[in-house]
Amino acid sequence: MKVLFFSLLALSSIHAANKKIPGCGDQSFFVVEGKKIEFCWLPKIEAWVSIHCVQKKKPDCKALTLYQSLLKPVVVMESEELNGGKNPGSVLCGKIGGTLQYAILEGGSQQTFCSAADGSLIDSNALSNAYYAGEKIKK
Amino acid sequence: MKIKGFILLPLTLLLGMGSVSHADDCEALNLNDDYNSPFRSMPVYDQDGSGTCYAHAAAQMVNYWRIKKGEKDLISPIYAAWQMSNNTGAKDTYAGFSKTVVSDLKKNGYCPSKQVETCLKAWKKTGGNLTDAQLIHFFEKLYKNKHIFNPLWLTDVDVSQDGYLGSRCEPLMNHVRKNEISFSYFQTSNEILKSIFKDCKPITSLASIPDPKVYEFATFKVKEQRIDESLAKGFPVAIDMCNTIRTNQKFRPMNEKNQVGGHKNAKGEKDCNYHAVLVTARKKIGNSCSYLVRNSWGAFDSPKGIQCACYLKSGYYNSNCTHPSRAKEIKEIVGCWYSKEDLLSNTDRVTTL
Repeated sequence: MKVLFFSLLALSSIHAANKKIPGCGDQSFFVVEGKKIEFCWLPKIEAWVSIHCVQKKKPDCKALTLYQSLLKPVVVMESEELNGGKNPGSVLCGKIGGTLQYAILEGGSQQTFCSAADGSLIDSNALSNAYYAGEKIKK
Repeated sequence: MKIKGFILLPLTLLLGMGSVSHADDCEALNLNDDYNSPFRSMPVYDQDGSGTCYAHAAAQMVNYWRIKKGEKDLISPIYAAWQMSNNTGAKDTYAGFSKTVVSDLKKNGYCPSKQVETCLKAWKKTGGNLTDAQLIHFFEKLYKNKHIFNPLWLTDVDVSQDGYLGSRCEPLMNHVRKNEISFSYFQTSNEILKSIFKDCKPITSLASIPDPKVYEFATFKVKEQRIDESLAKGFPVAIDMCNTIRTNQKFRPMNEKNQVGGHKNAKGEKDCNYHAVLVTARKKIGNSCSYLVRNSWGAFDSPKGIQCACYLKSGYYNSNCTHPSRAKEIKEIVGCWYSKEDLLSNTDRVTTL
């Protein structure tokens, strides 16, 4: 009986871990600054964002607000700010009030995320894509 | 009519042969797809807010060569940037050339990545879990205006106003304020980094690396030949690429007549941010011969509208990972494809081993 109970418990936890969140094109865990965090892939903006950004309980997600702020002509990044081949996503994150967080992925590759005031995260490459998309609109 | 046909047929055949020959010019060369490719043992770096693209490209070129020779220990691009800039008398690691880094590594050796991490760990922790780039940038900001005639230099330093660091460095800044005397001893950020790396004894086993060669102010044809030759020999190539190509592939900062830097095109359009990257493959996409460019902006770097290649978690190499149906299957983006015409018009300097 105990075996059956624990087997069911294990199965339900596996099911919960694999639960598909509506709105997520995909879900994955990344270790950011030593913490294992679940992310959601948003196909529309081609970005990894914290899972809570798409969960109904916490619809207010400041990381997505940071992303949207780059689509407006308010943020300007001067050419010299990128001298030395700086990652524009990293530079933009600081400019819009976010904090950079560092992830080491499976296999050792590196990736920066931008953390908003509420702790939500978005991959910094998405910020750079948003900025340049916004720049095209401005023209 | 018969005569016309008589002339046209061989002409068509000749033209056809020409196009076959052109297709052969773009025979697929790929340093990524083999199961033993050194790129499978190298991380995709994120240089973050550091101006060290030149060192990232150089360290990866050298690491690729070393892994091929059976070495496993990777050279840290951040260490390579510091060592070269320190040895050339520069104040900081900000911007440089891939060739200089390779030459410096050949002459002076390197400190293994794990030791570099050990040296930096305590500092990054004091600063509130800073990244390597943030730590280096902090020191560069701290010592930017320090000189012998400015004894009160520390009162002028306000790192919280730095767009990139924000308030992140406050814990480290407080540490500096508390220990002002010890920090006053150093005059530049490279000097303090020298003291941080003092326990690292460089491994000098890189003398056999081929001497780096640089091609600039060269015609497109010469640059193309050097890239192709290097790929055919099985080595990646470092290039200084105009970043505008990522968002506007039709941008032409250079042409056959204007090979010098090309910071502005003939119309005086916006200038380029030249960025050192690696070319790691060539293949025909549609009608264009295209090159794969490996960047140092993280494992998810994929500019919108450009085809990018990746390693999947399953171990497969995929030359087109754009708009993946299952994003989590991607382990890392290993580069993005640019047509030969677009890339050569945006390539300032070519560095090969």
